[in-house]
Amino acid sequence: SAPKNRCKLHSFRLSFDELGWGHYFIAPPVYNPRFCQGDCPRVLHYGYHSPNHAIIQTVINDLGVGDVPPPSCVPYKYMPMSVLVVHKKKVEYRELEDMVAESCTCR
Amino acid sequence: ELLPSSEFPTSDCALYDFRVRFSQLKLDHWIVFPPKYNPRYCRGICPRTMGFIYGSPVHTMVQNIIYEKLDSSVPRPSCIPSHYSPLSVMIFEEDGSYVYKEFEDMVATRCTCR
Amino acid sequence: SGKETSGSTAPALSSQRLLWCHCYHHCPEDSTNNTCRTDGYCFTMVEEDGGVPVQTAGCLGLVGSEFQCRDTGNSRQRRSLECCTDQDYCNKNLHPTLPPLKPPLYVDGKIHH
Repeated sequence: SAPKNRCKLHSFRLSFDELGWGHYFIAPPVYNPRFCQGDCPRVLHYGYHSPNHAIIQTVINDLGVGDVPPPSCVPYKYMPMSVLVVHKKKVEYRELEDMVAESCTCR
Repeated sequence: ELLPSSEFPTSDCALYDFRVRFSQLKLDHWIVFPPKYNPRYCRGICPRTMGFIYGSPVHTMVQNIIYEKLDSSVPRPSCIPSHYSPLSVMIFEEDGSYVYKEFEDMVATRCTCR
Repeated sequence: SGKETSGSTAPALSSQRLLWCHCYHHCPEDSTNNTCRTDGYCFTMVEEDGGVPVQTAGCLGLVGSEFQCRDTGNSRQRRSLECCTDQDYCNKNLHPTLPPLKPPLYVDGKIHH
């Protein structure tokens, strides 16, 4: 059970053409970078791996002590992705780092 | 990456000072020294064209393009701390003793976009 | 192109002994039977929501637990949070109660809340 709009991963499938990179990337045909969206709860539980700073920032925001925003829901870890690209008129295999969000954090 | 910029107003992602007293955070019954500290915080817009300045991963650029061109309900990348420094404090223990302790990641020192 | 939602919790730490806790309203995405695991503390929290006390529970990481376990709520909403770590599911035995209502402030004969 969890609040509805809680910080978590969401999928978003698109093609490289839609990104404007279709001339360079030829595979895979569909790419799902995923993204993090939602509210960071006042109590940052273990799954969020939030640092002390985020917890202090939550307290500051919660107490209304100053014009400090609450922590943001952002990717915590990423996964690489294997692609085929056209480079100098040749098709090449590449593994690109940090292409897919794997988990979310609040910070 | 950008350093504190309260003197030079900008809407882009930047690091800001924010001095707060532990009494304001209702932590002064436990943290007895220092009485206040500056955790700093990151705030601002993450512009697509300046991703390299913030050391952002490729995913951040992709998310920015999705936000700008395909679906603006997908959030724009956020301005968050990327580096921190610790803070040493004197705490009052339940057994009545005073202990000196260092807490990790208490002060934001740089910002990034993710 | 299109959007869906999926799990967000990082893989659990295998080698380190993790504590099992009861969770409600604070369960990670991949939680089963309202349980979660942590390298820190279990917690139970009660907060006032529309005048009604609402109890939630979950796992707190070791990092930040010194601050979160001393949470005292704020002026806008009464809240109380208790932590434990002595045994698995120890937060089932935690029953925090809401802090007393603050007496209204009398200034120049008028009540100020």
